[in-house]
Amino acid sequence: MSWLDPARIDESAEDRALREELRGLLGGPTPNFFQATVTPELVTLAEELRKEAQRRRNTSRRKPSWMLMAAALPFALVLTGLGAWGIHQKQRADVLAQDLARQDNEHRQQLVAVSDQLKNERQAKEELVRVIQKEDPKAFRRFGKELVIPVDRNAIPAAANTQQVKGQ
Amino acid sequence: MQLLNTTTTPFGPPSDFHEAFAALYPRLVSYALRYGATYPEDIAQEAFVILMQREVPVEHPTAFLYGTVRTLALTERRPMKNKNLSLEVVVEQGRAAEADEQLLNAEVRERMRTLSPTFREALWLFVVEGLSIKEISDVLAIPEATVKTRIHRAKAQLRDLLNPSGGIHVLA
Repeated sequence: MSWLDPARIDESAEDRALREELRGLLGGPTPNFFQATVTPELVTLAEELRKEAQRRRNTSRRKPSWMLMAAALPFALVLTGLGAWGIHQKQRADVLAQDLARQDNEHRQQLVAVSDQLKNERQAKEELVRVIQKEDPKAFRRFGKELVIPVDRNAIPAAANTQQVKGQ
Repeated sequence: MQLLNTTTTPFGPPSDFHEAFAALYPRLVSYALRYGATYPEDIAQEAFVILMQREVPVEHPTAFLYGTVRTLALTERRPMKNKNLSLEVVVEQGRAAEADEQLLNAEVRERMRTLSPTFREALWLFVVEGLSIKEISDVLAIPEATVKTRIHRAKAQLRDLLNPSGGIHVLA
């Protein structure tokens, strides 16, 4: 399709009707856009412009892509290095955090175990106190609430380098 | 990405390019003149060179040419960009009237001058230059809906001008 063909602008019938209406409102005839006289002078000028455009296109310096890549290489290397260092730091931090969490978990488990043991021993002591109170209330009263275990003195061997004190 | 063949032009084979150039060049010179360009011919030629220099073809070469001419003309008018001049002020100070006289008769010129510059620009491109709504939106770098609105408001202003005693018109 030639560029002069009115269909080139792909106008709707509504737009064309609007243009005709506006031409009517303006009154006088407006010049026809598609009428042109091709004179030798215009052809010569057109060819000169085309050659000038061609000349400019040929002489315009395009920056080679490898130069752009070379210019961007240091930045890319720095960014890559920083990125790798950052990833490494992140991995280290993750490992340390996991280690810390594991240690914390172990300490909590140990605390629970110790607490249970302490509770059991406290219960055993209370049970023993109750038994002693039942067996020998007098001794329990004399020593108060202290735990007193009757000792068979004969069963205790004489300690070396000790001196017997009277009344004891 | 489709690259432009060196033996063809944005308008097709060289013969089509010659036809397009013959039709568009005077109009682009006139369009540059509307924006007050001191060297409108140079601007129109530069626009053609820029278009054909592109390796990637544009979708609407005509709109690209008009947009480039508009930009180059305004840049020429505003060498110091930090002046922050309004585009409409620049257009008003341009030689739009001179450009109009080359293309339009007195009656049309008078009616065009009654319109506000924003609406007149859209109307000019649509009716006088024969560009489509899409092409005008490319040239002015505004949405198609805005172009349509401007054209319909220009139509309403023209109707008001033709029927000053009143009447009802509908803004589409």
